[in-house]
Amino acid sequence: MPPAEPEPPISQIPPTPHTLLAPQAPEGAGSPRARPCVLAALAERGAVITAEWAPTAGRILLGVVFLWFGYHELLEPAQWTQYIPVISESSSLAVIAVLAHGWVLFVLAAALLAGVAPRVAAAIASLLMLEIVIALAATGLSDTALRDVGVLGLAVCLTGCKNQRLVLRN
Amino acid sequence: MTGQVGPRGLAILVLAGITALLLAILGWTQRGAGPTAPHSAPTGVYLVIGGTTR
Repeated sequence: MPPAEPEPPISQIPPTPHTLLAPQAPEGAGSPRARPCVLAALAERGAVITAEWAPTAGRILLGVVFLWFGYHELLEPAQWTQYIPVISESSSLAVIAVLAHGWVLFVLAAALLAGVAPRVAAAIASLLMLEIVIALAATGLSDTALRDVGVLGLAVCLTGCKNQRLVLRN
Repeated sequence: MTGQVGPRGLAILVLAGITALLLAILGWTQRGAGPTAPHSAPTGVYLVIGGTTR
């Protein structure tokens, strides 16, 4: 009698679809016993789709946010000079700073939306959001600053995501 | 992380940069034009000062 093979550790066992583990219900697939297995299979499928597409959705939504703010900073710079610390908001230097900021936001938005070097764009977006949070926190912690902390978190997450869909590679 | 951008990606970035530059020029030329008061504002001030509103 040959010696029994040692069982592989759990981490090395390939995942099995829930549908294969489902017991064969004698009443058919619509029976109450089969329903939890169908739900588990649907949940598994949803989790796979979410894991596959969530970074892309986050990247596009971050791009929309950057596009909106960049567009408005470029067209109405005087409305945004109040957020610049140190420099007087009525000075031309503040307007130029807002326009430069808006330009970077606009180009970053294009990169994020089109999927051009998405991780590099997300890394630059993280730095930009960090700068915005620091600038807002310098004038006192506000709701806006805390909201931007969340956007910063999204940008940091996207910097680490390797599997992106809808990416322009060439 | 630093993958190649490629010609199409570069074209998109250049196009976005030029568009943003044009928007910035537009924003710079209109920076002094703030929100204008509504046309009815002088009338309202006149009525309040004159005390004819009851």
